Amino acid sequence: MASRHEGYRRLCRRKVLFIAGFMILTAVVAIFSLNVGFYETSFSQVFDVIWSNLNGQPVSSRQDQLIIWDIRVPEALVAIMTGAALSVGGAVMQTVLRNPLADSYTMGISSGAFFGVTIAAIAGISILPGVGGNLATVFNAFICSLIPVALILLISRKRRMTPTKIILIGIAIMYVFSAVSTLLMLTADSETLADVYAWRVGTLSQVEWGHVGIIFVFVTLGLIYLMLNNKKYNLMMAGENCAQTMGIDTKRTTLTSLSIVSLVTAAVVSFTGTIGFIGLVGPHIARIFVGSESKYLIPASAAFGAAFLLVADCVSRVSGTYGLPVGVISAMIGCPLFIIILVKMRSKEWA
Amino acid sequence: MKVTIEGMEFGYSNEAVVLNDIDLDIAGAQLVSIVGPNGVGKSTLIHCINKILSPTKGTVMIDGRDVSEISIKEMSKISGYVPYTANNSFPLSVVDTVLMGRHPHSNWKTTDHDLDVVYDTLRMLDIEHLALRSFNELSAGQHQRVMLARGLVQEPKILLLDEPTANLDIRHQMNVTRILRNLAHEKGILVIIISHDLNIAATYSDNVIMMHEGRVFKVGSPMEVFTEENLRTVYNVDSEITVKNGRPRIVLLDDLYVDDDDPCPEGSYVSSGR
Amino acid sequence: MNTVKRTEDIDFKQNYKREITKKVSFVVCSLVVLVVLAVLSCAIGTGYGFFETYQIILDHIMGVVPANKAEWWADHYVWENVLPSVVAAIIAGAGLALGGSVMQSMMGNPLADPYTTGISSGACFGAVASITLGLSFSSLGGEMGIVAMAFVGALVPALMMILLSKYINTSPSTLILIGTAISYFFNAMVTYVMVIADADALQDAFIWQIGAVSDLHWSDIPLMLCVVAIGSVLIMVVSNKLNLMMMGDNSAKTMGLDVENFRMLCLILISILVASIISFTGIIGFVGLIAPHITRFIIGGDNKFVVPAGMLMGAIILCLADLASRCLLDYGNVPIGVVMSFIGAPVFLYLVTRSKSDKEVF
Repeated sequence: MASRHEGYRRLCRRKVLFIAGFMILTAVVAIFSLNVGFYETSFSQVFDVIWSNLNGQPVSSRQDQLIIWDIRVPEALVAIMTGAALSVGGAVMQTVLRNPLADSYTMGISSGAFFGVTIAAIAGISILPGVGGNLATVFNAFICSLIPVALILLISRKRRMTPTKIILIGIAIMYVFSAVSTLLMLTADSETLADVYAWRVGTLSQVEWGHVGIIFVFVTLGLIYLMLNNKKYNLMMAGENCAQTMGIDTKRTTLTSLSIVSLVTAAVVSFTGTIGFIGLVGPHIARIFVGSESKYLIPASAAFGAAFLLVADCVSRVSGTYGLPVGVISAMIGCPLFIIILVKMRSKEWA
Repeated sequence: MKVTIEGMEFGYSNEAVVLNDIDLDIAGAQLVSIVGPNGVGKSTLIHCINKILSPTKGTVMIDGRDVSEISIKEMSKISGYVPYTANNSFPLSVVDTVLMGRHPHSNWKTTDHDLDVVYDTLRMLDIEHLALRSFNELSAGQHQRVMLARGLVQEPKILLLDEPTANLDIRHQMNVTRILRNLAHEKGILVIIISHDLNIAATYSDNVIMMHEGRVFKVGSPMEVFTEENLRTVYNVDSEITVKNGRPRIVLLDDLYVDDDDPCPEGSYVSSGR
Repeated sequence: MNTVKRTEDIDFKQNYKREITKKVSFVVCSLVVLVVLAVLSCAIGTGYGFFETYQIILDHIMGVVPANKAEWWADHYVWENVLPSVVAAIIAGAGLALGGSVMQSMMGNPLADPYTTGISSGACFGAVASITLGLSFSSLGGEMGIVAMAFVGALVPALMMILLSKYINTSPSTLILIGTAISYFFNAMVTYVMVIADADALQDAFIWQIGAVSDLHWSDIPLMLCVVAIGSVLIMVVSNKLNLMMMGDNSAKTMGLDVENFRMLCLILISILVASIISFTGIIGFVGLIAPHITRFIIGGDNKFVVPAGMLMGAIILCLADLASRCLLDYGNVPIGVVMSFIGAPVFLYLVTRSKSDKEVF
């Protein structure tokens, strides 16, 4: 009987190989990225610093310690987690909402977060009392970015939701948030405006070790949850009615997975700003190699997204004294990639 | 009107060839049915005739003219096409939908003549009471009749229909097919329909094209095409054919599965079930 | 077919004609409402009474030059300070609604709007690059330089699609995907250019991209008016062909329409139309999306009527937004683009939750 399934098994092995390949690539790029930057280091230095820190020994060079352990290592870790989170978020959104244009920001997360940042930076309002400065921005962004999804959950109690409606409500909320942000920004002085914009474009250069832990908790828990539910997402692709007849509570699956994706994305975005394109392009590229089956698509997206953002981060670090923000690099690489995919794809699968 | 297809081949990509060695010669005022199993290329064949697709090899000619040299605009006056499904996300009334079919003949302004043609067609298809309703509110069978009306008001010389009766009840299936046959005979139109209902095809068509594995398997009158042997080869089913009014009547038999490669033998659900 | 006249036959025709009359009267009513709103907006903007304002505008059009000083001032105030922005709002509303209805029909997608193919982000990038980096055409200085750059930027997405059209299938979904990609790209570029710019240039650039009509003068009007007028006439001529596009490409093809070329032509036309509007006003969202829908909701989907009625509806909506922004605060502080988002979002939400169909759109 085994030979009957040989073709299918071989296909699966190829998918696993792709995922493993990209994971290895991520690891290699991660190590490489610790050497990339304005301050020149060698591999032995990097190795030394990491080894010492892991063993709790003091590092000989203070500058090495600062640049490698306190700046580059957390940046690489956050890049990996951010890339994986955004890309998987996009994959799940595209599957659950059955829309190739969905990404992890579809629910209006980016505009919500941006609104939170503007009220912190311009109006000086902190939603959590007793928090100030940078932390207020982060908390505001996190809380506000969850408002859209909360609204959608609220509306869904009253009315039947279809994927299209969810997307459209997300768009409408996004417009309202942007309108309020715009009004606030009109009153801002030009310096503050510049700060707000710098946040919006998305950057990894601000991360610290303290952020890594928080992001790690959200991202791992979120990804594990999504991975455990992969079977459901496959069935969701068949359409709401079909999935229902196969024993899936589609409404609950949709809403919980949207909430999980939003939580993870919000956690990431609050620290890094809105890095675009990975959530859209990542899953599409992963799909070329492993197909649309969620069991493979989710890990493949994660692996690809992590590698992609790490590379973008490296490019951003070598791109000049001030450096292009990683969000811009991601768009510059992502947009042509996306168009090439469309040209190559031609098939009717999504387009 | 005469459709001649010579040595035609079609594939969506290089590897997957859908149609092979198609040679056909269909002429005159008649109703022709194309039958064959799913995925055999029936719709593709029709799309090659009306220029929606262009064949990768060979030629399709209408009255001796290669269709690749006929402009889309001219083509719309020669051939009409009724698709299997219609989707429309905008609120459009039935009249407006059917009036689209007048586009090849009329200018920007809707004339009284256009309206006359539309109304007569709607009445003939039993849907004149729906005229001012929104297309999106209708049922699948009503949709199909509206699309049929749109094809008819185009007043083509060749009318191609992709399963025009799939969503209709039995009375309307017969009615519509009879209308199409009468239209063919009275107005001298060549009507080509894709059909899965072999008995409807056998009862009304003048000629039948039976397709098998991307090729034309048999062309001829219903009596010549619908034989027990042909049905067995093409569909892999057993049947019993009787003759009534000079036309074959097909009765499908279920209890004679004796094939070795029968994918679904008796008891298969029990043995593979857990 | 039997074409002998029967009673029900005549009923049918009468019913159909009655529908047409309804649609035409809707267009006429909209026109009246628009004029009233425009005068009202002027009246609120100046603080004169409604009929007084109406008289002043009418007199000016008739060529009556006011004799005494107070009246001359009133005339000057209405004509030079208030009317240009009202007229600009009307033209922009009409143009964007026209763009929206064409885009929706030709993409077969009810969620398309004039910016679907990335026009707005292209324009933004052009303008922002001109403001912050000083890129411009040497002969055009200052304000007109920005307008020209925005115009050119807005045409980039359309150009890209034309260039790519050889290599891709130009189906609506592909065009929308590419439009999305292009607009993401330009948005990122805009943000980047703004980040590297100095703070004051950034503020200028930021203010430019918010849709506003309050700072427009008569000198800005003619180009917009010409393009919208020519565009609307051209679209009206092909409005019956747009109807064919609503039922999908194959269906339109069998009706004798060269779908690919027609879509590209429409795309170019809409790009020029929208570019010439937003390079003066900045990005005004929503009106192009909701005006056609409201119109279709009232008079049905026949583009021969949706196109003109939709233009009027768009003009009315923007006029209302202009009016609202005049009522709210002192004029100019709340730009029309922001007001439009506040009006538009609830309307949009209503449209979404109202529709019963589960059809996949986008």
